[in-house]
Amino acid sequence: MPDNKKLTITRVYDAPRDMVFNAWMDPELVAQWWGPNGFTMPICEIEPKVGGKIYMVMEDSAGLIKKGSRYPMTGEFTEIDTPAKIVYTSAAIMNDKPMFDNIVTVTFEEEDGKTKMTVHIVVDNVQPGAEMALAGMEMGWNQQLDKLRDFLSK
Amino acid sequence: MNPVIFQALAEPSRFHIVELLRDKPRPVGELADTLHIRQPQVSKHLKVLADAGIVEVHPQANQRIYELSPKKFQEIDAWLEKYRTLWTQRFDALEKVLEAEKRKLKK
Repeated sequence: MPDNKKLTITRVYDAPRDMVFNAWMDPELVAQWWGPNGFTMPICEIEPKVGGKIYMVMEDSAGLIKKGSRYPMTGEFTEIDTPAKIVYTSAAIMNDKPMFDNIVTVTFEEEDGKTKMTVHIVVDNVQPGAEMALAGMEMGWNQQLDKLRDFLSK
Repeated sequence: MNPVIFQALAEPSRFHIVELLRDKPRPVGELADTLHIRQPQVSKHLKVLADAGIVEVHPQANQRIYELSPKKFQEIDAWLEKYRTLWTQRFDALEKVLEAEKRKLKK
């Protein structure tokens, strides 16, 4: 039985490496892409140094789970190697309790003027209720798919 | 995932039992010894887990061996797939942000 609590996702972006790296470290940019559709990020604090803290709060503004509900995430950088690598730990919090922990390793490689970004996520300590934290986000994704289907059928 | 499963897993000893069974199937006695809980207690916990469909029991010689039910753990793996979707959605949004940043540079 696979005890597979690891994810690896690779993307290639047609953008310089510095720019892709910076999109992870600049709180104003992170706030624009981190949250799922329908969520806003009223708080995004990033201390870009080893031992630096990460504090982000996503808000369910579209009412996908419960309108106005907030989902904090705390974290800390364990490694920063500009512009090649970031490692951080984080915890998703619901009702003041950690729902699951992550160790996230992001590497950035230059390839033909594009950037290959590899993200390796180790998930630990998944608590009952973590599903709820994801349910609304999945609804956001399904809403996007519905919109796409409507658009394509016109 | 079904809330009954979460209730079943929310109790710390039952969570530990599941972690032990994740390693390999075990008889009740072994679970009791490893967790330092009395056997009747372990049996009670195993009943809750069996009712929730998380564990199954198979007789082997004169022992009853408990193991995780594969179907329920496919559901838990489904959680991980949803979590992967969350990340891929993020990376789609990151692409849009990068496109906007590139346009800014051209001005």
